[in-house]
Amino acid sequence: MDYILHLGILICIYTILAQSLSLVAGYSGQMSLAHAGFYGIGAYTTALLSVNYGFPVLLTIPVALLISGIVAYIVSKVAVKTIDDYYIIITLGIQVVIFSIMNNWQELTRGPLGIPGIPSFEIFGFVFDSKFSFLLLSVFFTSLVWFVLKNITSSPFGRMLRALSEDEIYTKSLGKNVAQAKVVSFVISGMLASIAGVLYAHYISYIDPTTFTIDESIFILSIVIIGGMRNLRGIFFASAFLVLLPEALRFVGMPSSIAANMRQIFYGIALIMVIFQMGKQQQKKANA
Amino acid sequence: MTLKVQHIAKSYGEKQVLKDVSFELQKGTVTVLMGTNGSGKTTLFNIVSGFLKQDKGEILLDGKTINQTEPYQINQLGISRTFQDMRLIGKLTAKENVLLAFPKQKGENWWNVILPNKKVKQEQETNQQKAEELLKTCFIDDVADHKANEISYGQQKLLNLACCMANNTYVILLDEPVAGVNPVYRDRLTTIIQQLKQQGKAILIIEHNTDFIEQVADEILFLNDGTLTLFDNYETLKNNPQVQEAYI
Repeated sequence: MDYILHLGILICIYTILAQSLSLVAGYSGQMSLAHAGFYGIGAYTTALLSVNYGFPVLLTIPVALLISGIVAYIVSKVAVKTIDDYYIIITLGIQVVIFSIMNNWQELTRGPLGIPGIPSFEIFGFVFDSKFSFLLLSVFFTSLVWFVLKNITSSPFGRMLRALSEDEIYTKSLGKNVAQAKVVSFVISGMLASIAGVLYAHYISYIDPTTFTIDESIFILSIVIIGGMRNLRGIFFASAFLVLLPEALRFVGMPSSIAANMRQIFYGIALIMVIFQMGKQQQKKANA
Repeated sequence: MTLKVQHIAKSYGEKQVLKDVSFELQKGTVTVLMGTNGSGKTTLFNIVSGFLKQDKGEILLDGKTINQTEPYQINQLGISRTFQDMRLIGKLTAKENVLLAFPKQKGENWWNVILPNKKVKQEQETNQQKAEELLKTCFIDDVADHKANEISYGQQKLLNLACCMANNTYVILLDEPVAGVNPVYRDRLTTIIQQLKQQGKAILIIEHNTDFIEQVADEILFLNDGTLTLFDNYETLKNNPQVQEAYI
């Protein structure tokens, strides 16, 4: 039973990550590979503050949001000046930089040794130390993120994002500040991803840099692509599908060593789909 | 509101496309910009709307310079434009395209849309009604819920004008609004442009269709060899030896 609850928690965490990425990759058409970086910023912020300084979670969450928001703002201010492949390369570079900081700034992050002993999530004296209570907490945060993203994407701001992803020049000609909209969507996306990081750190109670690698960014992007670039509900189902897939394959008799590697196969498929998606976008631009 | 374009010059490498272009647009007038292919008409549009920077000269909107201003800011100041190639958001419906064009929407500020907001909701409801009326005015209310890339070319041209009306700027630049449409749609487009003129808009149109020009033009600017000549009507332009030479 505990294992099923554990899978439920992971589905929630990946739903937050993938839905928040869809705001950037799906709605505003910016294919970001830095998402695991913001996931890591959330996790490391809460871990360092709670382990080293005893900060309560209610304080570490706003700090994690703030730091990831600042980093996302700086990154997007640079990345917004580029398009397509260049944009992806910049976000890839940022992902590598964030990972390198986690891995090499040993005085702060303990590098590859990671940070153990992260306390359980606690609010007003209630400790979410059982799998069931943590699942409820995760469902709450997932619903909150979903609700916020639903509001944003169905608003005129969301419409503007969809428009600029299809034709930036036309959207500018209508008086829309396209650059600002792209920066804002990236910042919101990065901040929401950090919430998943906070949840993960307090759930697992130990973090190290290997959780926040480029592989993780590609995995999150693959969820978005499989679920539908602008389909929040589809992304939830895709998260469930990709988290449960190795388990399902084990149940049908596939050796666990192969089943676990199915994730890698999906990375490959996702990468091919990304290239197709980019090809389609470039074709559209060429036809415009 | 007046738009003054003064002594604009623009070169692409060695080739000087615009040498010394000056003109003025007044409210409630339709000015047609003519010229042979490659004479620099679209370049002039791109400069006025901020998508291209001129080498020399100045653009003044109500006496204030708009040089070095971003295209989206120029639109917010009161100049909108259409493009020669059809530009709409194909994946949005016709109504959503019109809704997108409304200026200064509260719902376009992210801080208003993180959580449900009554003011944004009210604004959206009002804009929905306005959009439906505009689509009706532009004879395309029957395709309001069709994707913009799924309606006919003539309907897309009408939708372009509906978006211009929703955008509600003082100066409107239309790049070949009736090119490639049948006479029925041309008449509809003409009707809408005349309505915009009656509303007091200053309209500058690039066009080659002579019937249309005769119907709508208050004055005609002829761009040739990088300079502009002003004509009162199409007859005088047609009989001008310089114009005849340019087209031959």
